[in-house]
Amino acid sequence: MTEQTKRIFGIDLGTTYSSIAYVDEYGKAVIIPNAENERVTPSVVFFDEDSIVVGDVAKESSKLYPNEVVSFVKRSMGEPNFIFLHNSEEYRAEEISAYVLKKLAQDAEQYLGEKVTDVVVTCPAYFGINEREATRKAGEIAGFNVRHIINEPTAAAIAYGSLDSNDERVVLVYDLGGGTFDITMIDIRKDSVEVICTGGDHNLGGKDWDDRIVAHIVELFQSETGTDEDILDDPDTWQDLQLTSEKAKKILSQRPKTPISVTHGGERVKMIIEREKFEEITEDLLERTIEFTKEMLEEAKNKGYERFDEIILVGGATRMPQIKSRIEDNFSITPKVFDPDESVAKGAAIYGWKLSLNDGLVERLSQKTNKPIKEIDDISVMIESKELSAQDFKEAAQEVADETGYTLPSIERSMLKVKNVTSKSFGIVAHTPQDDEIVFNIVLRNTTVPITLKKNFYTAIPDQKTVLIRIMESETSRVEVPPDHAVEIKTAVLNLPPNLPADLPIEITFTLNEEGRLHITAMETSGSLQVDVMVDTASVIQGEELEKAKARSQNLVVY
Amino acid sequence: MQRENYYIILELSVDPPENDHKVIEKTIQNKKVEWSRLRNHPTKGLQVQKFVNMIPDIQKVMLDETLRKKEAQAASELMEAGKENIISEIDGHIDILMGKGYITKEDIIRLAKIHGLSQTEITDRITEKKNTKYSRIDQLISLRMGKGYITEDEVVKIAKKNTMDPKEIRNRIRGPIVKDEKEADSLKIQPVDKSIEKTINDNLKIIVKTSLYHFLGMSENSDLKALQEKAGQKKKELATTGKKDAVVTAGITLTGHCLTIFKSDEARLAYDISLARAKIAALDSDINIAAINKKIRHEYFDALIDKAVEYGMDRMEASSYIRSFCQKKKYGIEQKPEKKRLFVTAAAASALAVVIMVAGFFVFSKIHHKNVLKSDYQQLIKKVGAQTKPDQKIRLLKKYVNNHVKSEYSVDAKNRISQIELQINSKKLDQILKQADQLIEAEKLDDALAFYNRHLTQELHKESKKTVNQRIKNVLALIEKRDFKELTTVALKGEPDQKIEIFQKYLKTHSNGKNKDQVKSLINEMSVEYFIYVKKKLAFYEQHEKWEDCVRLCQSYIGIYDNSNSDQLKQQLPEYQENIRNKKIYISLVEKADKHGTNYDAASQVFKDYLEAYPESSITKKIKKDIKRLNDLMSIQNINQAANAIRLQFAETKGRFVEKHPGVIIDTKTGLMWSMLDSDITKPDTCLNYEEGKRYVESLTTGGFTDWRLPAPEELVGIFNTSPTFPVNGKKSYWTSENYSGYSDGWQIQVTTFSSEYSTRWEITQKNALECGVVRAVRSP
Repeated sequence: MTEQTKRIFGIDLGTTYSSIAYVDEYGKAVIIPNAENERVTPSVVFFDEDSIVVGDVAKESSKLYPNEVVSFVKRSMGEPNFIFLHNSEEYRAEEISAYVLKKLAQDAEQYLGEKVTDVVVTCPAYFGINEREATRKAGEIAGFNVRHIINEPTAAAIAYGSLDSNDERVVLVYDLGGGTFDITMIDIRKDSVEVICTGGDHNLGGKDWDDRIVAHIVELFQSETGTDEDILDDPDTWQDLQLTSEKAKKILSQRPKTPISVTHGGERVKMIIEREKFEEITEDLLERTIEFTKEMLEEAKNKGYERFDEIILVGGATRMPQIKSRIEDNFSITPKVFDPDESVAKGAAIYGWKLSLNDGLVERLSQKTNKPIKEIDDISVMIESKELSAQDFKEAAQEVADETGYTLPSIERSMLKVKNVTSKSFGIVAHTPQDDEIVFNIVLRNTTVPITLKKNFYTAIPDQKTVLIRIMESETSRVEVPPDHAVEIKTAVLNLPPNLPADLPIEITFTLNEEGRLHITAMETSGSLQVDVMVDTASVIQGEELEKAKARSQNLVVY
Repeated sequence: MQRENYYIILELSVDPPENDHKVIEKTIQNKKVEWSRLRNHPTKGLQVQKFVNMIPDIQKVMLDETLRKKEAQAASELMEAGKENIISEIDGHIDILMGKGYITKEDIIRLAKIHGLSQTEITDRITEKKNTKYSRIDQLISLRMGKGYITEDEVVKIAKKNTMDPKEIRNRIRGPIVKDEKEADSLKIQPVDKSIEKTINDNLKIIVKTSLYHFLGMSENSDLKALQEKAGQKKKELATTGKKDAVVTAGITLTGHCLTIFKSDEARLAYDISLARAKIAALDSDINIAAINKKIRHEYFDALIDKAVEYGMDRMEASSYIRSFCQKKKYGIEQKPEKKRLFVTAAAASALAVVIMVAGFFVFSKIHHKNVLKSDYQQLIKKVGAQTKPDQKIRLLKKYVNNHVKSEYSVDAKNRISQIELQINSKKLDQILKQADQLIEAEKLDDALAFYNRHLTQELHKESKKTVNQRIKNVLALIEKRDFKELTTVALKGEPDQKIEIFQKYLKTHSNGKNKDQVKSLINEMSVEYFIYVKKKLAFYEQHEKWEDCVRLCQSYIGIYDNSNSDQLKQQLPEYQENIRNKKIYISLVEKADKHGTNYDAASQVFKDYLEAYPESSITKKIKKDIKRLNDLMSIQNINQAANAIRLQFAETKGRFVEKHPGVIIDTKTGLMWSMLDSDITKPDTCLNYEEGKRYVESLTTGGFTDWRLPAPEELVGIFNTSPTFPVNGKKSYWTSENYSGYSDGWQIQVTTFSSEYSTRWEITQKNALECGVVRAVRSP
């Protein structure tokens, strides 16, 4: 591997488990096992005195040291008020996630004997701007060059689409992970993977199924012992039951019942949970995923997609048999279980591989055509428009093939186009003629990205001094939304010169790149004044705090 | 929805409200940490997340003086309301628990837990509750104690009147209980000295208290020790008061009395007697005051009784006490005036007048009423006539019937209603018949039947129902005809199972059908044909191990026929059932084995254990196959592990050896392709003699190539003795392509090997072809 074509690793940073993959010499995506020789690593961090332990050991420690162990931190990504305190040092979700990333990378380095520098990290399709940015920051804190944040279902679809098959098909990716649920419709073609629509809930995942078991166990314990005490108030019992429930869920996915024994306050209660009961107490959760799927299908219809060919199940929680059968009942199609634990990381690795080969190609094409690198963006479009000669491309591709040892067809295959949509709507707060505040959405969710959209707004009074631009994120497809249905992600101020008349148009431009990052321009149309806002969102770790976290992470060995 | 109060959720002091910015900020920070920790709690997670999201607003409110003040006010109001709620709730619980007559220690612990209070707080509350309940009893007792004792008879009476156990009453009595007056004589109980009693009463008056108990704020039933303690406490309290005014001084004096009187049970009893007597004395004084001119007016008498009840007597007691006191004092008691008779006379006179008036009115109103009724009804009929919709007509008529008493008009209205209903009904029936006929015409017989049945359950006139029932019979006959026609078609060309199915279906649906006998005989005629079919199918299912289908088929035949064939199938049935059982066992074994994942050794053990227990069963073959499969997987796993380990070593050959295809290593120096793994790894613990080694290399397909061969000695030298060398682990001897006969008859063949077995380095040596060696395959590009 040369400098020009740096290896880019794919990381699935999951709520409960994470994994790392790379593309080997034969162009195949492979998972790199961790130091414990496991293919997935629990996303659990144990602050053990002065050292940090990640993975299985950390997870097992949660029973003994419940207050020193952090799990499910992905659910708090981008939450400014989430704080973990250890030795009077404060840690935010981004930093804790960084430790998980570090552990994955460290073990991979040891396994491959190669430094991990560049990564593609995945996040749920349904993550908003804040959470995405937080995921990127986690990578940066871990010391990586985060080349791309890619949606989990898209990654899974890339992995699925990279299988040897030339069929063009529309696929629903039903991704039920440990903490999040995404439902995504993807159009897989020979040379492209295009996301049509996406929906979901980043607070719905396997953990919720576990939690139901926990609550059920507590109730059984109470009725068995006759106590009214909430045994979950005891952190040891809570953690113990959390682990017990996860195991019970896994057993119930294989067998009709499971024995459970609970020890609390010197009392020991044995109980049996049957699959039927389990399904009964979690039925509403499953129902929610089906509702999301139906809604998404409705939206897809608006984009001209009336039908789909397959449903693929991704994410560990889809192993629960009721999921498969419920989907089968509802959509009259047998879903395919596709590599539920590994496809996301593998897809990310393939995407990274594609990026790295693309880099090599672009560099060579730049040399051949004497064009600066940044002018060569979409190679296939450039070839079509004859901006680039097919010969030049072929030569460049051959050179890359020679240098990397990959075959020419695989280099050409790496030109696979990936198109994404935004999972949220973005707009600004405006005033109606009745002077009510309203969020006016400029980019609606499920719009294909990248995209640039403009809209004029008008000043309210003569000689208005400033325009306050409140950028809002929401989850509807409606153009106008009441402000309390949206989340404010950033504000900007455009100062205006004196003595302007009322009703002066201000042009607001929203640009959303393929990763879902937002750039906004507000311009007073006479052209003299403009503000640019890169939405890096205030609620994500930044500034001094970010630097501190980076420094802390740099000197840290994760076990 | 109203949001949570921030003082309360931050658990900050409300009374007085916490106002220190630093404390508030620190608390918010601590809460942030606590909530973050609970963020993923299985049951509280959601609530906590809500709190986390509230933090910005909490900061805004709590760090702003005006907003915080409002918050504190709201918090204090909430807490007050909460307290009241809690108290009434606790009282409710105590009442329930006291229902059994006592409260156990466990009850108290439980209540404390439920309400989040200390056990002492609960005990206090129970005492208070009990005291309220017992206060009346205590009054009754204390009054009777005025004589210095209480008799057994009195105890029983009190208990009876208050529906309590005498034991309970006895428990509350601190003084002596005697059998009768005689026994009481032997007791020498004295009240407190009169003068002391007076001082006490004077001082009590100053501070507006009625007794020493009242002064201490304790119940008359309190424990002696508690009274002592309280008295001591009170003394200290008053002693430290700066301003010693009358009240304080009186208080200090009284504490002194308390300390002496509540020193012993005897002293206390004496005081209690004084108290009781004082009450009676008070009553006596009231009676004296009431007896103006030695006569007590009847109103006063009632008031005195009330007063006596207040002191602790019951009404009967009070009445007799006052009467006897008055007798002693020679006071007369005025009788209540007897107004009753007078009233009755007057009432009789006025009643008579009323009767006369009412009778006159009645005659008049009857005539008037009839006229009104008639015109009302005529108007109604007009209105009804104007209505076009029958149900509207009925509504109007019914309204009339309901609102008017029975008369010739209401009878008429009822008749009209029945007529209209009859009309509606017959119209409805016509419609039903018409619609059904349409269905029948369209040959939708089952729909027609369902349609009739649906209407049969609805509101239909009896006659109409009869008609519908008749029609149903007709439709059923039609359906029978249709089904039989269908049946005969199938009977001519259908498969045996189709025939049996349709025959049986016919008999089931038309148990009294016209052609039932014919169908039955058709079934009988088919017994051999169907048996042959069953046997054929069984053979097929057996082959595919579809045991459930076998059972179903056998049962189907047995269920229809009772002949030698069915006997044969009956014998076969248990075997199939046994196979189903075994199949289930097999599935559970597979599930159990699957649970071990890639731990193939453990998975294989699951099957082995079963095999050991049941060496001969219908699933033995399968199990053996699985064991073999798992063994194969195990060796593949081992090979892969070995391959991964070796791959790492190739990385250190400075690019000389590169894995071009999976498992194929290209020597960039010579271009020769080598199998990455030798036979030592791919076939561990297997002895490959030279002939077997040759066969091994011939059958090798690594990397998709089939032209593998044994290497020449120099080829092996080239990779193992020229740096960077081909990585290899352990000592071994590789077969080469070079061999020669050791003896002229060719019986013993010597082969050139390349070996590290005998030395620290690799060297060319020879080996007998019948010994064990290792193959490292090579191919030329």
